[in-house]
Amino acid sequence: MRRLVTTFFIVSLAVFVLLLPPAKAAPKNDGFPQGGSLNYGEYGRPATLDPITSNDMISLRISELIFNGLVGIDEKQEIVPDLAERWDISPDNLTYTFYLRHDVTWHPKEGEEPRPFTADDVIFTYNIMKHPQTITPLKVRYEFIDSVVKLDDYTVQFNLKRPILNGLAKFTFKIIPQHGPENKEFLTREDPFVHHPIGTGPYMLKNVTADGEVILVANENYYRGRPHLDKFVARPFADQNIMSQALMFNAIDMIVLVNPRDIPQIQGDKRLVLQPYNALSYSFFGYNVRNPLLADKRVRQAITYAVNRQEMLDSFFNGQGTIISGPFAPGSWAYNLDVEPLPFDPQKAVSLLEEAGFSKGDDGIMQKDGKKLSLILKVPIEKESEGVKRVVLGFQNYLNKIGVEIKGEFKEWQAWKEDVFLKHDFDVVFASWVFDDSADITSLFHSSEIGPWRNNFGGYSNPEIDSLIVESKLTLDHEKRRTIYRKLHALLAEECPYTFLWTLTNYAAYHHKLRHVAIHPYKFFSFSDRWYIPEQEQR
Amino acid sequence: MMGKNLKKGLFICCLMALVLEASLSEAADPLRQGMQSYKSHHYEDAAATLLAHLRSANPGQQGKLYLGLGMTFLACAQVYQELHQTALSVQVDYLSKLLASHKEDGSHYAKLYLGLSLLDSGNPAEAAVLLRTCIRDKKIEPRDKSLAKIALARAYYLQGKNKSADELWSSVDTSDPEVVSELAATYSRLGLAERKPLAMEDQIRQMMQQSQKGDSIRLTNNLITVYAREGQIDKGLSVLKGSDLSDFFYEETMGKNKVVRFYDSSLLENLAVLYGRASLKFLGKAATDEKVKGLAQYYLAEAEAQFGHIDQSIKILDDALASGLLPSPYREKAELLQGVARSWQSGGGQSQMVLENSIWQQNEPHVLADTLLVCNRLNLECAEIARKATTLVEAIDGKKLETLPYALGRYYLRAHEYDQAIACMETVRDKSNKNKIEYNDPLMLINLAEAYYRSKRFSEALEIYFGMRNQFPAVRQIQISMQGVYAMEQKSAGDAKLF
Repeated sequence: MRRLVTTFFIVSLAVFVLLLPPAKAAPKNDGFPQGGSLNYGEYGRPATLDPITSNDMISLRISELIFNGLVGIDEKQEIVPDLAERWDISPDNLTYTFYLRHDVTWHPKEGEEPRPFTADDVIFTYNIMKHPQTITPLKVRYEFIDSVVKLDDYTVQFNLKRPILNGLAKFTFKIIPQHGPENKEFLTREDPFVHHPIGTGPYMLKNVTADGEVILVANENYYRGRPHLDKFVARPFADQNIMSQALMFNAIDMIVLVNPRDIPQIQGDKRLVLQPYNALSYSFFGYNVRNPLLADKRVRQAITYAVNRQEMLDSFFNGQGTIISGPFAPGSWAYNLDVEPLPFDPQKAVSLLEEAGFSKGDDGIMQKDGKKLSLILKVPIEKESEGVKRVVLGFQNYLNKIGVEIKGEFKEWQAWKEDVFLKHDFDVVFASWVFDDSADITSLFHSSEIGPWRNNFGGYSNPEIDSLIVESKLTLDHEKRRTIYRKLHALLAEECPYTFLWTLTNYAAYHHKLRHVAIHPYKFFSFSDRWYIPEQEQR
Repeated sequence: MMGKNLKKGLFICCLMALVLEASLSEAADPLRQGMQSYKSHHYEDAAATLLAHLRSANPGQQGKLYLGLGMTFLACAQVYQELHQTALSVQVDYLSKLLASHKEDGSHYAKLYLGLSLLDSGNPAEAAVLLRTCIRDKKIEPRDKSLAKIALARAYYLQGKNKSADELWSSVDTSDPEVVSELAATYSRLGLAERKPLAMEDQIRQMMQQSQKGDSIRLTNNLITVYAREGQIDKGLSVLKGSDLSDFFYEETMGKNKVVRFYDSSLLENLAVLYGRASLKFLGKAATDEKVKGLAQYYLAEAEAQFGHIDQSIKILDDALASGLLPSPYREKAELLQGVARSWQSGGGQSQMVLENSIWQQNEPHVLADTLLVCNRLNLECAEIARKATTLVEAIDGKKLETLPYALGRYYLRAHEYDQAIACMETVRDKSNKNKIEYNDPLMLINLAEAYYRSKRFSEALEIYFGMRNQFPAVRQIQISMQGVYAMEQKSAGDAKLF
């Protein structure tokens, strides 16, 4: 009987302990102070704040503060445990089993206790990501997963269709809570969760102000210990020049991307630190090949020959960048060094248009079968910096000289994205992509990625490109993949679905008071829970 | 005090150029143009301009032209020496990873090129193991087997197995000009003058010119090897005209979509030797002209020290300091170089830097910077100077530090402390033009790229080489190897976002 009582007591105690809300995480034991807030400038408002539906860097940076993946990447670019404390990979590389941490909780909803993070959330995230009606660019990245199985509350097993290169790195995708989205089947931009997300990360969303400021506060229960800073505020700026001024006048503490024209001024300011981070990015003019005039590659090539890219870079961005020849950034392992950018050659441009059946009309505009070569260029208003305005004007002038009319339209960021990614209502866009180290261009150029809210917004389709992309996905050989990427680079440089322009110098700038700043070159805020401000400099 | 120091310690390249340019105020435009290219770090352009002008220059101008050419070739040699060090280590990393990732169906040529790299890195025993495998490998073409045999023989020779080396050398097919050329280059590298490598190479060059075939990159490399080492500088420089130094040495095709390109990093070493010898030649000539003797002697001493001729360097410095011909800032630099060289000499190259001269007690940024750089060049331990430099860098404003952060960054790089190396070198990098050699010392960029590479921030390193490739096309081999390492090391999920 006594034994029974003891057993009952132990079991009751265990149940009680399990039902208790988890205790607050201990502060970090690194000797650095807590407190202070960081106001950082962004060049626009995030479309969504969740990691699934977003397809821009502004959203990605914020979701990096709010969410975690099963695994993460440390400052030495090594895969490290995150929500999963360890994992097993089967010898055939087809089964990945993740053992989840028991001490992670979701940010609490108002008036509620924090809920524990479990295997159900992982399964939920995968299922919602995969659902055909979920608006996400992530589907293509996870097509290699066959099934996900919950082994117990804290163990999940992913079964792969085939072994893949860098398999573990794929599990850096962010996990969202089962109790987050209203619609448990699929996620769209209409779901309140995408604007008011709940995560497990170091910062929790407090609110979004009418001015579009995103205010985040420290997660006291963060499993790695409370982050040092009390608050993170993302402030949108429509104009990058004004953002730089705001930094220099102490209105903000950091800007994530310094306008190249402002680099000398910031470098000369002793209160500020300029920190390079090599985001693999480039700018381009992208074409909508649904327009029959642009479906002919000779027309796209002609436009590329007509534009003096070096002159634009030198004049509008103080030469602070590099002209590129294809779909990869020059700092990428995939860049084909054999391919040179097409030269500036307006004569060649005119010849190509004539070869494609165009001739100049009375108004000086090229036309074919009665259709004028008059194109609408759409540019997001957030990019309305002085440099971008000049690029648009320059583009118009260069093309005017070969008889191509360009009508520039600046659109508000959301409206621009809807026109480009949803309605496909444009002829040309001026935009920039940024890639992580994998240099994966599948979502940009594979024909399966044509459709609403997909990254192949121009509708480009080429069986040879498709076949190479698929082969690159299937191989387990790094050198083979490298060769394929070199071929893709050469082919796309020839095909001109984009006019590949340049990669600009990327610097973040921040006040000296901010310490221990390490920046992830792609995700930016990955290590921000360790940033701090000395007590005497907190305001 | 600081103003005076600032004047003294102008950035070394600019200082050299400015001093020379000042002495060239009456000189003809091509001379000025050449020195402008030098200041922009377009060394090969500068050399071409100055060499072209040399033929028509009047005797009064020749001393200045020799000095300009000597300085330009010295700078060029220093760049290629640094590039060679980087290329060797990156190539060994890349080829080792390549071999490790495909043990059964992998590249056949990776073994050959890794063997060559290991041999150049001073590991003949390890190289020999790989080269022996290549000789037995049926997938390796006969010509390349001969190259493997020649290299294996070099490995044997370096291990004192002269008989085995001779047997292998005599077994290669000498009907193939490229094989003979490789043989001549090897003899030259090993100092086997009695085997007449120069005559062998001359004969091959004549044959190639008659056949009007373009030189392959391997042939070009061999010609440079021999001409540089046998003192045929003009011939060596003429080989470079029209050569594509970015070319690969071999392309191995392994199926429809797998092609691997291989490069021989000795090309960079040979360019360093050629330009180094060219600098000694022209500085030596300049030093006979009274108008520029002082400056020429300083650079000549620096060049001799750079190429390991310490005794000769000290002798020249003694003479220069005694003559009183050195302009003031150079006098101090010469004293520093002399002090460091003596310290090296007294310790047989092994000792700790001895701070016996009072100049090191002053904690002047330019003094510490020059000392760190010279110590580094001579592989002389200088922890005390580095400590002083670190304290200074932490204490005072960046602009007043002149080249000290770079010198300290280089010190940390060699000490494998990469984060500190990056932090120091970023201080002196022109942020607005971060990868442009016109605005940044190419040596600093090469060192910074290496620090980024070692920190696995590959894209930063690759962007630097991308910026250098037009002026230094031979960096292609570093780019390709580094891309290969990056491709294998990167661990990302495959994300792309609108920027």
